[in-house]
Amino acid sequence: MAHVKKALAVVALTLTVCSTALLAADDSKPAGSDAVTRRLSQEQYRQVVSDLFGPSIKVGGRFEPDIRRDGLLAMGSAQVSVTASGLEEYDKIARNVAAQVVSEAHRDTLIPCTPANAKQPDDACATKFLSETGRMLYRRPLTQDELGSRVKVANDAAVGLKDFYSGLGIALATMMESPKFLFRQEIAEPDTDHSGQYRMEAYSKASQLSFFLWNAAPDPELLAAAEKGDLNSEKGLAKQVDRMIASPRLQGGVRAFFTDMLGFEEFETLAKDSMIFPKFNTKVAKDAQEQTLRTITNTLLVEKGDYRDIFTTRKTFLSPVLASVYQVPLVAPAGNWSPYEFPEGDPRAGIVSQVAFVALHSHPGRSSPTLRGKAVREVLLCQKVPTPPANVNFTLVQDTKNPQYKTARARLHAHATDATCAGCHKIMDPIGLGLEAFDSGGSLRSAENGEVLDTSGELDGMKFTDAAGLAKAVHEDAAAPACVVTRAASYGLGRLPSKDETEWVKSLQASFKDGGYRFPALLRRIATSPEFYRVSPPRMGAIEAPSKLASQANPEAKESQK
Amino acid sequence: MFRMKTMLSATALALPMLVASVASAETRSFVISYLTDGNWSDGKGDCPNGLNMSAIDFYRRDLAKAGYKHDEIEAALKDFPGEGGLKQPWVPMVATRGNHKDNVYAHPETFPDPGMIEVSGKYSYGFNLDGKGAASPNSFEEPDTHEKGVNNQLYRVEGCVRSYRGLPPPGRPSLPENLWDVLRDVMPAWLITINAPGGFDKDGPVSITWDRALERITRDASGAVAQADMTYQIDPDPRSHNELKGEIKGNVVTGASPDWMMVLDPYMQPDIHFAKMHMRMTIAADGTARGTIGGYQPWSTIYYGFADQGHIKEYAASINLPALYYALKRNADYDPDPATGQNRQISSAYQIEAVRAFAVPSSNRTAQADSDSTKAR
Repeated sequence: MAHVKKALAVVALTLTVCSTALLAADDSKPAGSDAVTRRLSQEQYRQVVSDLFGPSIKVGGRFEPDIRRDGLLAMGSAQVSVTASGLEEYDKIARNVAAQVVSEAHRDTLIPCTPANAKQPDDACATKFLSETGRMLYRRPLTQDELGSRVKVANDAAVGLKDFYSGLGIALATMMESPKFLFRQEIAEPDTDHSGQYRMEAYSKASQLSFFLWNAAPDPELLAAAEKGDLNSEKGLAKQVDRMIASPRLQGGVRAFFTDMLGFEEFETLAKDSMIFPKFNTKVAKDAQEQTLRTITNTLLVEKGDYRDIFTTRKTFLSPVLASVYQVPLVAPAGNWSPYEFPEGDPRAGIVSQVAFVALHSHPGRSSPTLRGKAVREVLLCQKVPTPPANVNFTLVQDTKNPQYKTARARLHAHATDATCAGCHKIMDPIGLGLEAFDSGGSLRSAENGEVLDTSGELDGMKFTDAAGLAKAVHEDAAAPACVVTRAASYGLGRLPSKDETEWVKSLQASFKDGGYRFPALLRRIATSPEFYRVSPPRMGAIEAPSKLASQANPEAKESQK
Repeated sequence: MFRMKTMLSATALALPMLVASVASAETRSFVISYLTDGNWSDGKGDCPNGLNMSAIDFYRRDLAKAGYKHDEIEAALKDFPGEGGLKQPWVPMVATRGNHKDNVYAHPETFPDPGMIEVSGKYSYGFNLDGKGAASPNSFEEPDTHEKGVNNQLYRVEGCVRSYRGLPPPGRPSLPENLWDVLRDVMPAWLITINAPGGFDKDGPVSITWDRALERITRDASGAVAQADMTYQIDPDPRSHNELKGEIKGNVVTGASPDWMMVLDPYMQPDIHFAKMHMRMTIAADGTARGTIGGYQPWSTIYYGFADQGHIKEYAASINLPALYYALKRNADYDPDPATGQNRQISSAYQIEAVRAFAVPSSNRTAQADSDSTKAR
């Protein structure tokens, strides 16, 4: 486990550098914010392995839990480390992946060379594989020292194990549990176009761009552009951004963004009382997320529509089991999903009335106008709702069998007679009551405890009578598109925009509006902005730019950057 | 309610042949969640003479009758049942206990009738199939409707076998429940579609169809019941298409058909083929339905549904198969063979539980074709 200890030490060093930089930050910086270091999410890790080795290589194991900060896991990823037990898990995962890669089943396709003798070290073959693979894992070329040390690990292990491939697998595993793979480090360099300012060096830029648009590590073309210095020119950057936005892989990136923004990781712990909501099984929970993501990507990427239409569109997609929750007949094709359009007049309109939203923001045994209203404000409008005081008495609200208060509206009304509760409830409940036609499992209902439901409500002065009306109110609320702009920028940056970046965010919001709220255009605008790559000058313990290190390893690259 | 209207109109679109021309016509489809032998029990009144022996006991008895010595029998049954495979010493002995050479399950008459404790209680699920009412010999009283003259001789045969004995409602006989629970994950679902020209809120005539689906059921979150409101394509295979005339009264739908067949699965029995089929189904406010189907069916089909698994089902279910054979033959009550006078069919009943579903026409695919293409893959 020597390499584990070494890796732990490197993690500690990395985080020390990162936190030192954060501590050193002050308001006098010229622009941008402190460089952030982000841990790869589980999905990103899996995507990298899939992109590099193909889908037949399985990634199993327990990943470190993500944390949500300021509305996004992407921002939490810049504030997490790896625990000792987590590192052991990364070690297991890496060893398992590496063993599959060098196995007899895969080595002929995944290893680009054959050793002279499979029972002995082979310097040339190990160097070729590790340099090519390492470049994709570290998202930059390996330095000569890095490559040399990994080849030595491979050779030493091959001698001990009398097997070239086993040795190569161990070297690959050490790279996959390295902080250089597990963490995305932003490295600053002077911005030659803006004197006194700093920007990310080219490989950091490539990662920033690729994880933002594709939720994946840079592909060879993007790395090549970074190596040639193309990403430091407006034209070169735009060329790559346009290529990536035109790629089908953009869908993966957009799905990842909305998965994060909508808090879908909470589905992992979502529970429903199966006696009350027998239809809400694990397949429904999984398909409900997929439905919302398909609705969003269809509206934004396929139809190239207005972002706000995700709140009102009646066009969606259904799987057979999801159709049972919506109580509509559906014969699914081989792919198991069918396009479906709710008829005019149906209360289902937009993602807020879909099973994913109403089920996620409910209690296990009952709906919750409060949680749903809070989610509309916090998730979709980026507004902060104060947390309830610690001593709130929820007994009345939870008593769904109270004969005096048969509906959630009645219970909440009674609860809100307490002045300490009323203030916050009035900014949440009138929104969520519009969704009361949907129970906690997402099914449509017309009554609760025999009493016909009143689904009228209000969002900041816009009154409505049902969920479709609420959808229109969110559609018309200027906070909704402004929110997604801020979220997208924060998601890409891994932090909240700084005060210096306020004007930039405002300009993004204005251009989003002027352009008809087209989401790909927003992504392009963010991804081509200098602000997206601007960082504060390194203060202490600066890490030498890998591009500089790489140029030492590859003199030709150094020349091309001149 | 809007959704209900949408659902019904969609169903109506999917089943144009079933939609009545009047505005109030309503069509509802159901998928069978459970089908289990209609074996009633209150735990005491059904089997006053006790229950049938467990397998190890009747094997001891039968092997002794077959001429094996005590020590031979005990040696063979020492590790009974073991893993139940053919290498177990008791397996070839019990399988050829008739004449020491032929398979007793295929040729049950090679062994003399071991006898069977039969149901002698008053009640049974089922129907007055012979139309004789209380005057019908060997008939029961229906425990819920209290209709007299209920014919269910299959229940009489198997109702005092421990694994087939009923449980007080809403319990189900354990082995039939287990069989269906296994089967429904691998066999096409069974569908019932009821068209009520005057709607379900009004008493009147209905037309009913029974079909197999192309799809299997999906379980709900409890894992026990079929997910409601799933969509199923109707298998166009005519073998499992049945049209019944019936009526709705209150929330109870009844129907009958002179000849009714549904393809089942050899794991239970290849099919259920009723003559004089009757059904009665109560639709609850939550959309679920419970009821009974019954009719006369060939007892040989039932017997070989047990016997094709030989000793496995015999010891696992503790049901003595030669005894079952003789009991079915003895209690058969319909369709005498013109040559011998032996009745070829036996009255029977099954309990059904169903949830709402959408039944839509399929393309020209059939479950059989799908099954064959799966095998080909």
